[in-house]
Amino acid sequence: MTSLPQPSKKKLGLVIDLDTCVGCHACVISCKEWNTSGYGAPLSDQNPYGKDPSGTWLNRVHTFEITPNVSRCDQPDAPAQIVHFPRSCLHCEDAPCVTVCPTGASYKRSEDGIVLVNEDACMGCGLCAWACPYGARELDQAEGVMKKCTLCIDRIYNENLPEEDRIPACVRTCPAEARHFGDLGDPESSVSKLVAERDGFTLMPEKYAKPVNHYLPPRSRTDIDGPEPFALASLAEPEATGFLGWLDKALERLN
Amino acid sequence: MYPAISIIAFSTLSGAGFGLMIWLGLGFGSDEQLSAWVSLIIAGGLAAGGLISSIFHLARPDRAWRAFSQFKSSWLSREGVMALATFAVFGIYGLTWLLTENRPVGLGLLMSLLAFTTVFTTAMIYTQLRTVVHWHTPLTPLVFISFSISSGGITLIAIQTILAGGQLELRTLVYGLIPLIFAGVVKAIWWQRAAHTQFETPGTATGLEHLGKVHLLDRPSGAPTWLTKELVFVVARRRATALRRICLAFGIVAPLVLGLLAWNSPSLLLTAILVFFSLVMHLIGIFAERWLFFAEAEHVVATYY
Ligand code: SF4
Ligand code: SF4
Ligand code: SF4
Repeated sequence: MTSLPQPSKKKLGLVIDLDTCVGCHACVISCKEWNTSGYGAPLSDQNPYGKDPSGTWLNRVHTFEITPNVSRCDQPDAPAQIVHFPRSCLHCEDAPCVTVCPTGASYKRSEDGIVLVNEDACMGCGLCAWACPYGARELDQAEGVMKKCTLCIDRIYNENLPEEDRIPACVRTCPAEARHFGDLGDPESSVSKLVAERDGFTLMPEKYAKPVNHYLPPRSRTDIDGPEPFALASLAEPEATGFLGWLDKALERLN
Repeated sequence: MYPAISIIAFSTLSGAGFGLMIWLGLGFGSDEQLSAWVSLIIAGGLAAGGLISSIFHLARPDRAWRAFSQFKSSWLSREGVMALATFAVFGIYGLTWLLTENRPVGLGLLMSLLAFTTVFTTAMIYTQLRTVVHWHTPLTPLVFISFSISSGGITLIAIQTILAGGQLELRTLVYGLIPLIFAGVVKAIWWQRAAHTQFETPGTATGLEHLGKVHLLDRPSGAPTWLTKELVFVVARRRATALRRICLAFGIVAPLVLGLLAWNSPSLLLTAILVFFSLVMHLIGIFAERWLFFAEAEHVVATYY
């Protein structure tokens, strides 16, 4: 049924750290790699080597530039800040994508809150993608069914994988550890603590979807730029001692 | 939003078909057999044609039957169920009328009510979406319903006048033109509201507004994707004003003027032709209106791009 279940106690989701994300797109690639051979139909590509390649992805990274408000920094020439912004399904509690679905293909699991598509029932009308405020759903052009992030349901409960791999592919891959996975319904979980410590926020609460995934804000540039800029050039000066020091000086004299 | 022809044709044609059913069910139109045949066939044909065209929008049309199952939660499903119910009652009403040469009044009222509800559920598919602020207003169902009634009404006038060999009754003309003016006014108010809607900005959509002015540096992919084609369609907006004029000129003004000319026309043949053209103009106008309804609507996901 596409009616939403009673809110579950367990709310599995991701916490994405916009401060440490370096925009490498490794999560995008590993998500595609895992999911094209995992749950449901493969994630197809159209014209992959042609002029306008396109395809289905469950996770995409945007890059924004933020020009600081001068008043905040008290510096008229404060440098702009780059923020990489990964975007995948937020496994919303009041998921509008689920309630609009006419076939019953879209559903939210009552046990852990994961939002999934039953691809055998989906008729490819695309209405759920219209209803999602976060652009998290893509209609696969080869299979004609709706694809979305599964929270790697076929990894997190998969007892055939070693313990450390039972987390989403994107989380496992991220070299900057900008993605965290856990139970956001449990205030004692590491992800909930992270959200509390770092003032985590949800996207566009005014759309009433109640996302489970949270984002951690980037630090403001004033915290990074100390009053005395550190002289990086001094680090490049080799400080040789002993025999090498003598050789260094000898060579300098020859110069 | 991408203006898919299959959806535009669906809501324009089925709107006119269900609109005609509303009028017929209320007892409008001549009781004669020929008129009954023609108006029933046209009403059923328009509504069914529209619904069939909507199936072409599906990536998996073979699974369309599943859409009848989720009427408890989904407006699209409710629309399917209501359309089916309307067709069932329409079938019984039409057969009774043709076989007994009598119009069953109660059944007719039920058919009108069901046809009206079907158009309402169609509009609700769009109205419910918080992601498209242009659509998320009670004015949207009002626009769909008033255009459905006006196009159904003008279709009925055209059928009656042509079958009567060009005799246009003043009574019919008034019935047809009042909904037309009403629809024009409602749409003008809808546009007025659309001009003043508040959109998200990249700052509010990313939640980073407090850091400064946020703007996109790099898209996630170099080439357009299904998502950007579907939700971030922008080609039309530059032409929006011109298309609005076409919509008003063809959809409202032309049918009004042609209708009044037809009333004063010197020859019966000319009357029939003018009435027919006022219907064609009106449908072209609604087509333009529906095209704009999609093309002008801005999906919130566009703010990420
Ligand atoms: S992010 Fe979009 S697809 Fe995911 S649950 Fe929320 S509304 Fe549905
Ligand atoms: S595309 Fe599939 S999952 Fe989405 S609303 Fe339509 S039938 Fe449901
Ligand atoms: S949780 Fe899995 S499916 Fe979802 S974005 Fe990460 S890798 Fe992709």
